[in-house]
Amino acid sequence: MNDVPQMTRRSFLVAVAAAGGGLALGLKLPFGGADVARAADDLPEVNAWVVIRPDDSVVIRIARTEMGQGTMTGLAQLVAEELDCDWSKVSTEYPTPGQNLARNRVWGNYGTAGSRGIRESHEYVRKGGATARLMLIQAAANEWKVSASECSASNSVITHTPSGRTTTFGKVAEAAARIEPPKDVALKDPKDWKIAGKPVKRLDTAPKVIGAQVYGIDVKLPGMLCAAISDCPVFGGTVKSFDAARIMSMKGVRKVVPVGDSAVAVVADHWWEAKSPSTRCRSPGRRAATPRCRARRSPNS
Amino acid sequence: MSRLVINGSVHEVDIGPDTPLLWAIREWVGLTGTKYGCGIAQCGACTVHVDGAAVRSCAFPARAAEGKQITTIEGLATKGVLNAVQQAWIEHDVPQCGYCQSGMIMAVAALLKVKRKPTDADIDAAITNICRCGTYQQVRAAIHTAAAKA
Repeated sequence: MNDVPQMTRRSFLVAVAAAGGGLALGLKLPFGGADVARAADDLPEVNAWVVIRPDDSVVIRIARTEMGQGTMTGLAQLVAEELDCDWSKVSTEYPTPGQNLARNRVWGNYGTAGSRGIRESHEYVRKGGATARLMLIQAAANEWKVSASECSASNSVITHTPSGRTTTFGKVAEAAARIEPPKDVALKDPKDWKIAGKPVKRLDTAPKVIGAQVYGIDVKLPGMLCAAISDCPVFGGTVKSFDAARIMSMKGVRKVVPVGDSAVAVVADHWWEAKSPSTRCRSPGRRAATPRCRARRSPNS
Repeated sequence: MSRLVINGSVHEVDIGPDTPLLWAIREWVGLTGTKYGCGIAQCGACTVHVDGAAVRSCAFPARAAEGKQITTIEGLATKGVLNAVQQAWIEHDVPQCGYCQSGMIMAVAALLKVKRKPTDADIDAAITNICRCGTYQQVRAAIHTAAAKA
């Protein structure tokens, strides 16, 4: 695997990788305060994969697309397993590809197809969870002035075994975010897994049964227009004519654009107003405003 | 202007005379839970209720719904409590990609109003929505669960 993301919060700083990889220099930005990356709600990231709120709720970053196969829930399980957090307090969020680029591809490859989501990223997302767990334990040990080796984490609770003292992830998350991440982290033996590899309820079901899940077709940007294309239905055919003026006079239409020699696109305020000209202008006895096509003759006919 | 009552709220929408209810709901009112699938009333992704009955809104003129009560997936829960169908959907983890499920749930909710305990044959006859993920077995199980609760 030559595409392992940088697992340190410092990769949010400008990093200059030497040719051939291996060496990456983190340069502190000249502005800003402490070098702790902040989540959207200004809470500190323990690392790129894990944000923990003071109430112990855990936000796990998912860098692959959920397309219905459960990848998002599966990846969250893998991070949560190594983090040793309370699964009932886990939610997820998607960093954007733009944020990934701005942070030197800290989340690695976003490609989601052919079972690659889990197959190609399970190891480094587990390392992300394990690294965060060690940082949280170290933060608790620092507070108690004990050795981290005497502490362990389970279900979002950190325990100092000799004294029986406990604290929670939420209480030490801010301090953990400032700790230098350990470089080599050991992953659990899968036979010890309690969350990963177990059947759990999917995290994406609830928004899908109330119409709240946002799909590509639902995205609306400021000033966005919609286009619909009318292509010649005959393979190899070309546009014979279209009545641009008449289409332009229709409600909501902004522009009529020829596309190559076989299609015409209508741009309008709403998608229906772009699509509609191709269905409502074929009234008998009136000249169609939509493109009429000429089938190209085959050379042999 | 058309006056549409959607999920109990009145919306004045400046739509053309041929605008299907689907696009009035999605583009003018901004409720995007109702999905566009085939556009020819075959797949059922756009199913909403008009006066309680399931209609495929992509082929239902918005103006024909004026003066009627329109319910979309966003309005199926009452006072924050999910409909029995939505609850059963969560219990069975029915959706995969989820794109067709708003329409599927609306079709089932309408069915259960007229047929409290549908048999498998009733379900086959009434629920003709298409799911490309192929969640039909989960849909069937969840319908029986929702029927038992209602």
